Amino acid sequence: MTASGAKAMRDSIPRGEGERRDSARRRARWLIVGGLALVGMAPGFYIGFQHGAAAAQSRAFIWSPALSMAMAALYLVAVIGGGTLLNRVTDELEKAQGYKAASFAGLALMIVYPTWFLLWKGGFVPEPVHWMLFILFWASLALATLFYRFR
Amino acid sequence: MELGEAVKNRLKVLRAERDWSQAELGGRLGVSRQAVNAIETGKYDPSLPLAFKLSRLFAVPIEEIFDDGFGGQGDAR
Repeated sequence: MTASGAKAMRDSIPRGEGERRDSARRRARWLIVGGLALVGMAPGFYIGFQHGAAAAQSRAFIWSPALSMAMAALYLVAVIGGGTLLNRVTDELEKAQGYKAASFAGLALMIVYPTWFLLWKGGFVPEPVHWMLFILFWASLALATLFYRFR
Repeated sequence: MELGEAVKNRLKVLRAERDWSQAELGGRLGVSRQAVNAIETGKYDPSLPLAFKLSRLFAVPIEEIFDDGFGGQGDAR
């Protein structure tokens, strides 16, 4: 590209337009994250109000097939759809931070789960709890994301 | 320069010459203000496509924005 061509490209964007685009990108990102949070909270409140808090954990409480399929479908749509939308408004730095945080969370899971399983087989600890491992992954992901973003 | 060491750059100077904020530059590049800040402070080295975008935006060669410490020694062997 010639210098005059580059100048034309630079000048084709009016002053302040960059800040407007930056604000729009941030707003879109927060809207998607907020929407996903609402989608995540709504089923939790529904189950809680309908069946009590123990319904999410109790082994004795079995959900109806329709409820469990609806929850699974909602989760898949939210994760795949939300992830695709979020990817569109995520820049390369945020993606790089996300990859590092996901690696950290995966490593935490790789350390904790096999160790817990092996100790359980020896009778030292209770059986591994799947939702605790899930929460461990998400907590590690959140902490690592905050670390890489604000260090 | 050691492997893994951040590449120095003149982004802050070029941005100041045009009186652009980090958010203004980020918006023009399609990245966040935090990404511009991370590049300026040497915490993050941009991808090649983003470096070319910067080069086109400021109408200067990439070597005039980024300095890898080898001072024009093009032979990487």
